[in-house]
Amino acid sequence: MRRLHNFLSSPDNILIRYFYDRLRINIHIRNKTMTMRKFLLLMLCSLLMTAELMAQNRTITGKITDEKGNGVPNASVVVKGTNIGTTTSIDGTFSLAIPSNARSLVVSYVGMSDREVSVTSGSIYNVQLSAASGNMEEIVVTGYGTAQKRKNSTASSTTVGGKELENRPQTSVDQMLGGKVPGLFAPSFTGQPGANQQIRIRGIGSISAGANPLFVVDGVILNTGDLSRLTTTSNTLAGINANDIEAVTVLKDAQATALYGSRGANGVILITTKSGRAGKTKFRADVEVGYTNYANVPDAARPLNADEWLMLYEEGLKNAGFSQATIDASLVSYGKGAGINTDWFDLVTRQGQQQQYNLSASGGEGKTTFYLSGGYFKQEASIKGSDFERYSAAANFKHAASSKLTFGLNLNGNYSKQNTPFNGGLFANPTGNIAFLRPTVNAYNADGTLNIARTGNTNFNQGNYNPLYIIENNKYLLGNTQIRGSVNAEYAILQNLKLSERFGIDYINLNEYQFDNPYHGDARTVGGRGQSSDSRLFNWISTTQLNYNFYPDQEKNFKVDALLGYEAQKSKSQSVDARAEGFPATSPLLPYSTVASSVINGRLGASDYDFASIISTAQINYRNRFVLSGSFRRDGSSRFSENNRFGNFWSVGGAWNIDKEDFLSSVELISGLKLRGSYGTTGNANITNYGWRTTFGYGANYNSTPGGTFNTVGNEDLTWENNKQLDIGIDAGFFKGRLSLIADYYRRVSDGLLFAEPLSLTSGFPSITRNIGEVENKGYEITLNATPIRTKEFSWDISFNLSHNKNSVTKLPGGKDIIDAVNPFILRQGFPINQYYGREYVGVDQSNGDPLWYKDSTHTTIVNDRAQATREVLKGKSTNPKYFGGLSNTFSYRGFSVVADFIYNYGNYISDGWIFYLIDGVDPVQNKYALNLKRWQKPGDVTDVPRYVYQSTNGSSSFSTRFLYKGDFIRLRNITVGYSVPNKVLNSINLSSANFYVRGTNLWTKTYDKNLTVDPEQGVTAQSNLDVYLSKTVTVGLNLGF
Amino acid sequence: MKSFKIYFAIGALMITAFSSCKKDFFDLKPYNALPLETALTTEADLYTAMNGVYASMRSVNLYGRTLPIKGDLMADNTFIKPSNSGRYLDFNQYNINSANTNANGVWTSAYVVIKNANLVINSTVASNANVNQFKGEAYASRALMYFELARNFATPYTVNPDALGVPIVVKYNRDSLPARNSLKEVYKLIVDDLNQAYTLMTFGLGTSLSIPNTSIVRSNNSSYFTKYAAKALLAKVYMTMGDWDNAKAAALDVVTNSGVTVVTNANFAAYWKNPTPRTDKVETLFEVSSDITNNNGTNSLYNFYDPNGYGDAVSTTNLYNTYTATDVRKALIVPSGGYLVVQKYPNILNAADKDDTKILRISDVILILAETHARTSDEPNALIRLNQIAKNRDASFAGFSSSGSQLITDIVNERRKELAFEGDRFFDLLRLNLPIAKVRGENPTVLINVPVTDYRRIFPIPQAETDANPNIRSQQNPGYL
Repeated sequence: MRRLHNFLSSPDNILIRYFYDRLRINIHIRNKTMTMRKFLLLMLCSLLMTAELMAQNRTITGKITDEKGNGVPNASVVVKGTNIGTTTSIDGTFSLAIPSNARSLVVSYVGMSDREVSVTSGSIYNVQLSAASGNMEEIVVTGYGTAQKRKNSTASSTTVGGKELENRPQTSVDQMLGGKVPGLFAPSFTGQPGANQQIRIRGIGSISAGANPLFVVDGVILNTGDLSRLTTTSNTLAGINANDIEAVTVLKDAQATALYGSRGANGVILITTKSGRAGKTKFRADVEVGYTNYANVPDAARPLNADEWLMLYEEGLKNAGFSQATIDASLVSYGKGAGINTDWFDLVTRQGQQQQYNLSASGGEGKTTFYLSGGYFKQEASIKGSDFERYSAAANFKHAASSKLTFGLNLNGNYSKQNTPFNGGLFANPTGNIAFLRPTVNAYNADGTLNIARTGNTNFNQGNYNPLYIIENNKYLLGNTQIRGSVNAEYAILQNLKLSERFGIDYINLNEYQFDNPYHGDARTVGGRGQSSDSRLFNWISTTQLNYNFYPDQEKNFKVDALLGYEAQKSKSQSVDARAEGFPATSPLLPYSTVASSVINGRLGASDYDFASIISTAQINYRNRFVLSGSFRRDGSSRFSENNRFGNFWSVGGAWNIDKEDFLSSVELISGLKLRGSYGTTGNANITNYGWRTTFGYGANYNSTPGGTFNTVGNEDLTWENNKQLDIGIDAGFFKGRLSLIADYYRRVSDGLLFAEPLSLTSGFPSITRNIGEVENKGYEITLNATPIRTKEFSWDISFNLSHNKNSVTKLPGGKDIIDAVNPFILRQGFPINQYYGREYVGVDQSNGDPLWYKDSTHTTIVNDRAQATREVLKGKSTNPKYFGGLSNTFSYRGFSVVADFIYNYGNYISDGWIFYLIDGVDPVQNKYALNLKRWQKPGDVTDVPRYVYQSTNGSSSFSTRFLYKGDFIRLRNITVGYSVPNKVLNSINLSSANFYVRGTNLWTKTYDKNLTVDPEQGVTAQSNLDVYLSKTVTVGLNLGF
Repeated sequence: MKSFKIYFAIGALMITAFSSCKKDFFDLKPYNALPLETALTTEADLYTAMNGVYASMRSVNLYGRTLPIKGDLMADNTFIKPSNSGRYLDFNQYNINSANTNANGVWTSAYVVIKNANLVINSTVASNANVNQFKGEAYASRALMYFELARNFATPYTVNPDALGVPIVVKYNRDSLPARNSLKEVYKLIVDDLNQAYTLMTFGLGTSLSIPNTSIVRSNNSSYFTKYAAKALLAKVYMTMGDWDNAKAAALDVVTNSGVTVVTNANFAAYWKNPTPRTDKVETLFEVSSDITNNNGTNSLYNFYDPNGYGDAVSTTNLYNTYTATDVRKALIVPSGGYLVVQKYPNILNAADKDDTKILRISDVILILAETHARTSDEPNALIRLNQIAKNRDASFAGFSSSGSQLITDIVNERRKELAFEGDRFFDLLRLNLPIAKVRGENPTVLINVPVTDYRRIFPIPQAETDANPNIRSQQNPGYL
């Protein structure tokens, strides 16, 4: 030993001396003192005698469970301070050979608390982990690879574990977060599978620029959203199989998001994919199949049948003063007596399929671990012609080349196909056709072929096309190939100084093709049309960082963690848009435009952007009692004008674990109490790539020769939008963690918002985009997790979250109101974004059936012509909910479990964007909602629906508070009833786990406005747009582990 | 030791950082545009810019659809069928307010054309025949736009020449907030611009110009402004001002010297079927062209009239009845399905080319000449010119022989018949200060009477303009908020 010591302390051996010195500092073990030398020798002896020690291993086994007693699969069981470890199998059991001198095991799983167990005696270790998020031991991931226990984090973030995301009947992970993350509002607006998802974290923070959060997958910042050019809606995240996701962390406050600088203002969503853990290779197979149907179409919106429509039409003509002779002739022309009664709703909707299959393998030995998976997903919506299919595969490798160098590869590839019908007022929109087409129009000819005649009132003469013909003969294809991946390496220069590099790519290839047949539809007059758009988006990002941690003082009461990094990102996209018309009249039709005669378009365009940044962050931790942290990031981007190209973003945060203080540490009731706060600045860079440049553009062609015009006004000062956010929060645990609370108060001020500041139209431009607006969001978020009952056989967990946000526009250009040209909103200082603005409907005059409005906000006069009423700011009514959140209940009894997740929304208002044509007699040739049957018919009738008059001009069907509905709802988002096959049975069939379950999604919805003609989830702007109906699904599933 | 390692690592990081952080990294340029300062520096640039000016005249709310539609729809020539696509119902019902998108679009689109024309006019490219031709075309385009602005948004000159006109902009100024100039100033600018155009343009219909050092050759067909098109426009402008003498002189110059002939009776149907701009100097002096790749699609003029498209607007019965059975123009209106379908723009299904919007025709100029003769006490010449058109179109018509106010009425009616569905009728009624009996619907006939004092005869200044421009806010047209 003495010789060993002399060797180690010899000054000639610099390297070893270096480590010797290092170890001198790092040997402090709390409450245990030991002479430096002895410890050093002990350590080195251990290392040197590893080989011998290996022969003296012993095997331990055990099971890792959660509080319900269910096995936790894929949890990590590692001998503390070593690389020796394994992962649990699907039932939570593990078996591990540990060295005889192993002192303790660390059991961990993301989303659950770490547990450290002493292993000095015994060979069976059953460890129970607490799964409640909010527990202080939970590992919280923030950006750039930083991860720490919740008790040491000064940031506000929420993690959703992979278990809650797998095998769901939603096409993309961003559709699964609503109701699970406080502060995150994610309303659907369509049932189209593969649709885009709007997400607003802590309110709407931008008016004209994008307000969606930033998405980062395994450290790679992605191009997300709807990147299609022809398709109604699409979502790049639909390519990621949620079964490959380990966890999703939503970063909300400045301390968490300032690390993302000019792009962190709307929050950041970090997605970590599954990686392998050392141990025997484990396989997992999942199957879930079932059917879909429409979730919630209100009775008020039922389309009329033939008798009802003819009756109403006749009544409208009578009320307009037409003679009976004229009326009778008109009715006959509209099919009266012809026996036609087409149920378009029935013809266009269907019960659809829902299936997914997943297979994965993970394992590895000591130095190399892997995770491989493959999956297939298919979903058909309740509207014919609307569906989505995806093939995906993932491969993650990690290899420890030496004790200092590890590197890894994450690869994710997928191909998805989507068929997407139109929405809105387009005549080819099947959902629109259900509403507009008269029930007296023939869908089929007498010989059984589809009717496509366009003259005559029992045929398609009102604009809308036969949806069955369109569905059968047109194509609306989107094919999407994506490859995402990153290569990373980490080199430990010192044990506490690590240099790492990650190089990631995000490649998206969209192939869109639309074929309009030559016989019926938009391309009838041009002999058929084929349009395609092929886009390639390629995004690479390189992040180089140094992580350093050290103890500045001898006693190691303080710990400092620091990060310094550099990141560069380049994104290039190009698209070819092609269009050809004039298809040959073949049977069958050849839909690919290679056979078309006139080429209308075939052009290549491109658009790029860059970002480069310096990132830094530091945290000081005093004995896990006080934590102080800060970050600084400097960003530059090609999107920002030369005058304002670089920005600095910073944050400071602090946390105080009050429960560690003497006056609380003995209080048994409180298992954790942390007070935290943060303040910082971030930016929103969701602006156009070249908008700041004043340019003369080309493409304004004449006589097929090139032309150009001065078409971009530019702005030499244009730059990112700014955010400053204050957050104060409490994390508390009670009753040994059986009750936990996380509460946050925040105030988020967004300024420098992009606004199209109006110019005089005489300049030749309608507006110039300037950074001039300001919006404030403030509110609070509360999450409660509790386990009211936990017995040996039965347990009940509740998770509840509530968010409240108040949005207010604080500064507009010149302080002036801006009235939205499309939607019934007004932007006015002191009121929220999407504040409703319109006339106030009073009801119907009982004596004569006239619709009535208040003339103005004084409510002193009532008029019966909408044109005489003035628009008012409808105080308290906007599209933003006052409260939203979710409630989850989990019951388990022996092997059975029932999980019920509700989401809810209160205080917002919804409107039907197309009701103008579907109510009252304003446009009498369309079909109408069943709501019209409640119209006023004779004096004394009490109703909200006025007298039905053919071509009425009093404006009764134009927007007013009559069409403003309460958007409050409670929805049973998910209910799953399952059974886990017990171990005894499993052993006999050689499986490590088997679960059966039945799941229902969106099965029940309660709304609070009887006049609703649409589903209450209509996106952030809350105006329905004749989209595919939201789906409900019923599926059965099976998970097997082996 | 410790510090050495750390500094080395930081150094490596910084070197990597700065080496890739060149200024070029951020200086990404768009693929479809050039900076404004360098975009109009050569002759070829002016050629491209003029193409852009014409393309912007084709926008939907100018000659793409709204102007040619309005002139008939807000007069007594057309109405919208009950079963329709929902477009221009406000025009049909004379229910326009300052938020009306089509009316506002006329103002907005006209100033976009003016912006682009100003760039050509103010460019510093050294002059030569080509450059002067392009500048002349730009002057003519600008004049045309100010003429449309004045006719649509201001009191008719003949009613009150001292009324407010529209703001005059002759140079791009992003932040300016101009008030309305007087109608007199606007018309003076129009006249001056047209005279400038007439002087600068040396290429006529049927010639071609080529740009040196390029392969650009432009055949100067009827879709580009030429000298006599500018003069024809000047004749129309003077007529609108009630300046009969100047109108007569201008019209006479065009009729005598342009070489453009009236399309014959035999070729009349083929003329309207033909969607291609002409070099043969038949009938058309100037039109805005659409072709198979550059057109407004479902938002085009031909899609609006043709039953294969929306087919929304149809002819009134009283217009149809003004044509005799042997009038070759009657065949452009086809009774079908209980309505009188307009077939003046029949190329909706043509896969090779699409209908153009006629702006100036020699027949129009001849009728201007007839009217100005009549108004300057030269009735014999007035009759000659009137019958030149009337007898051409109706081979069995003996000819007019009226005089006095009846002659004027006959001329105005002949204008109505000849220029039906080309957007002219409304402006005739306006300049002549005549009441309008707008047909809103037929079977049963519903009329909207628009007397000469009705404020709805002119469009409101767009709300977006009055909102953005405090200097124009108090100058809104009477009757509008």
